Amino acid sequence: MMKFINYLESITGISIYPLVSLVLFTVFFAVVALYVFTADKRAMERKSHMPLDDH
Amino acid sequence: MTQSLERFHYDNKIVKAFMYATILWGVVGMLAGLLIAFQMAFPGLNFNLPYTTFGRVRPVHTNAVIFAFVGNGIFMGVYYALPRLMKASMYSRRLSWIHFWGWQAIIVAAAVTLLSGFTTGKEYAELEWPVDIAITLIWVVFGINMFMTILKRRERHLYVAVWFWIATWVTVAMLHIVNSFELPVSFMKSYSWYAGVQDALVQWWYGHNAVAFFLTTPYLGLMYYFVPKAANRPVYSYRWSIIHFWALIFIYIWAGPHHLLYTALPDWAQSLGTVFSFMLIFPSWAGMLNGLMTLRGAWDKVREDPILKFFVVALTCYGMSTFEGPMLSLKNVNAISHFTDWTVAHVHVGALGWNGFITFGALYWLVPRMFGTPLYSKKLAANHFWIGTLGIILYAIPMYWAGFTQALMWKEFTPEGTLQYQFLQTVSNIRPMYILRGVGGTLYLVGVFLMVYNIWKTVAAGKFIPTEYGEAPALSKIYQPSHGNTYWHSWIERRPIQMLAVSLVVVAIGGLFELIPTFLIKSNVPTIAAVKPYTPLELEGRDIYIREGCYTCHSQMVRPFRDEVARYGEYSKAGEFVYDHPFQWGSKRTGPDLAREGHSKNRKSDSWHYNHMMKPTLMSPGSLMPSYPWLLDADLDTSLTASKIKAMQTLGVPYAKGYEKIAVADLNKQAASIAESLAKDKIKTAPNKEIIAVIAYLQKLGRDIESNKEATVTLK
Repeated sequence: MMKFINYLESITGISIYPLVSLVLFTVFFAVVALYVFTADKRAMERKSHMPLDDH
Repeated sequence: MTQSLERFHYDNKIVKAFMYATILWGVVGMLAGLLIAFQMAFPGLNFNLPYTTFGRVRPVHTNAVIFAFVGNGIFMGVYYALPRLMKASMYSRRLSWIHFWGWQAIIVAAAVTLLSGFTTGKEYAELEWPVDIAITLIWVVFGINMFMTILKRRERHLYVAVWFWIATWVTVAMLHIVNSFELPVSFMKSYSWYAGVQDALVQWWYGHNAVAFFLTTPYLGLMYYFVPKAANRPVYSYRWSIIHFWALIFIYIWAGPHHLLYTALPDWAQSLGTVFSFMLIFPSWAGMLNGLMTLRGAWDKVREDPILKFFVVALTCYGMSTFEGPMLSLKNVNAISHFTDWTVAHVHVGALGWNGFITFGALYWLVPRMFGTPLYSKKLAANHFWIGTLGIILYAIPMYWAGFTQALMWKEFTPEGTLQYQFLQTVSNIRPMYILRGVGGTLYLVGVFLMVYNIWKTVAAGKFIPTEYGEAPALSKIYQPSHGNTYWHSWIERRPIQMLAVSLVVVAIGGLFELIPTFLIKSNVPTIAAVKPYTPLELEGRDIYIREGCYTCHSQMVRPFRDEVARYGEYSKAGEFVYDHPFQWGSKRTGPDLAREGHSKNRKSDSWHYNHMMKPTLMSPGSLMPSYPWLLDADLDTSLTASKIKAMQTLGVPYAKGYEKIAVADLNKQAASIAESLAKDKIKTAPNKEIIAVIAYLQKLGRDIESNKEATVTLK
C-alpha cells in the first residue's frame, strides 16, 4: 500500500529533524537577543547614524 | 592621535546608468504584465502568435520585473549607498561597467530567448543554461566589486544595510547555482538534473528564496539607508535591526516547502516549511515596525513629502504581505489559497507595494541630488503616489475576491454529492475580476509614466554631477574602540569576510536540512511499477508543453481533497514523477489540472485535443485559453530526439541500452497511429506535426497509474 506515511517512515530518525531545527533556531535567536540587549547604547547610536553622516 | 584626511570620489555615472535601466525595465516589465493581465480576460489579445501568447509572455513579465526592474533597482541603491557608507570609492570602475552592461545584455537575452520558447520550465528560473552561466559570471563581478570596496573602506563598522547586501549576494549565488543544475542537450536546451519531488523541492527552495533574497533582503538594505536619509533621522532601533537581520536570513531559507503543501512532497518537509514560515512573522514585523517607527515624530513631514509617503505605504505593504505569507503557509488556509488568484494578489501587494514604492521613493530622492536641482514637481509625485496606491488596491481586491470565489466554487458539492460547478464555470465567473485587475494595473502604470515625465523634466532642468567627493581618515591597522565595551557582534561588524562566511553558514543550514534528506530518499521514493518513462514522441510533446509555458496556467498535481479527487481522479503520488525532468506541478490553475488528463476518467479523443489546441472555444465555449494554431502547422523537429534520450539515460531514466538509435523510428510509429486515429475523426494531418507530439503527451498524463491497482488508494 502506498500511503503518505511511507515517506515519513522511510528515513531513519526523521523526527529528529524538526526538533534539531527548532533547537538551532532558538539557541541562535537567544544569542542574538542576548547580545542586542546587552550592547552598548552609544555604540548603537553611532552606528545608526552612519547613513546620515556619510558625506 | 590625529590622522590626515584622505580624499576620494563617489561615481554617480554608474548610479545614473542603473537608475535609467531600472526605469526602462520597470516600464517594459509592467507593460508585459498588463498585456498578460488583459489576455486572461480577452484571449484574442494572444494574437494567435507564439511570441505573444500568455505562456511565453508571462515568464518575460516575471523575469523582467524581478531581475530587470528590481535587479537594477538593487544595483542603483548599492552603487550609491555602499561607497558612502564605506567612505571609499567603488573598487573598480571597469568592473562596475562590466556589471552594468553584462546585466543589461542578460536581460535582453532573457527577453529574446523566453519569447522564442527557450525555457527550462522552472518558474523564475526559466532561463536556459548559457544565460545561467552568464548570470553567474556577472554576479561574481558584482561580488568582487562589492567586497573589494568593503575591504578598502575607511569606516570600521558595516552598517546594517551592508549586511543585508552581503547576505543577498552569497545566498543568491548559492540558490542560483543549486537550482540551475541542468544537463545541456544542445545550445539552448537542457534538462533539470533533478526529477519530480526533488526537482520540486529544490525549485521552491529557490523560488521562495528568490522572493526572500532578491525582492526582500536587498530592498531592506535600501530601506535601512533611504528611509533614514529621507526622514533625516536615524533608524528607530539599531538593536531591532540586528535581530531583524539574523533572524530573517536564518528563518527565510527554511520556508520554501510551503509552496508544496498537500502535494506529493514528504510530510515532514511540508511541516518544516509551515513552522518556519510562521516564525517569519516576527523578524519581518520587527523590520517593518523599525522602518515605520523611524518616522516617529516626523509624521508632519510625511504629509508634505511624497518620498516619505511612498516609503510608508511600501513598509505597510511589506507588513501586510509578511503577515499574509505565514497565514498562507498554514495548511488549512493554503488548501483554499493555493492554485488560485489569492497567491497572485499576495505577490503583487509585495511587488507593487513594497518593491515598486521603495524604488519610486529612492528615485525621487536620488534624481534631484544627482542633478543638483529640486524635483520638477512635488505635486506630480504626490499624484503618482495616490494613483499608484489606488492601482494597488484595485489590483489586489479583485484578485482576493477571485481567489476566494474560485476556491469555494471548486469545493462546492451538490446535495447528491457531485461537483456543483464545471471548471470552466469557475473561471468564467471571475472574468470580471480579471478585467478590474487590469484596470488596477493600468492605473499603477499611469503613475509610473507620471514619474518618468517628472524625472525627465528634473533631469532637463538640472546639471548632472558626475562625481562627488568625500574625506575621511584611513583606517588604523589596530582597532581601538572609541568608547565603552565592545561586544562580539561588533567584532563581526568589522569583518566583512567573516560576515559573508557566517551568513553563508546560516543560510546553508536551512538548505541542507531540507534538501539532503530529500536526496537521500531517492532510493526510497516508492517507484510505481506501472509508471513508465515517456516514449520519444511523448518526450517531444512534453518539451513543447514546456516551451509554450503550459505550466503557467495548468498544474499537474492532484491534492488529496475530496473535490480534487472527484474532479480529476486519485491524488498524485511521489512515485509518478520519477521521470519528470523538470517537474511540471505548476503553481496556478487558470485552467484545470492536467495530471490525470490521459486517465480514463478524463480522457478525451485525439481529435478533441486537436480541435481544442486549434481553437479552445470550439470544444469548450467560453474558454479563456489561447489558441495554438502554429502547433498544427509546424513540423516536429526530431534532430535532437536521440540526444534527448541519451540525456535522460544519463539522468537515470531506464531506457534500454542503445534505445536512442531506434527512438526516432518508435516516434514515427506512434505518430502514425495518432494521425490514423485523427483521420478516423475526419482530421487529415501529416504525422510529423508538433500537435501530434502534444496529443501523445497529454494522453500519457495519468494513464500509467490506471493499470496499477497497488497505487490506488481510496480516500476515506
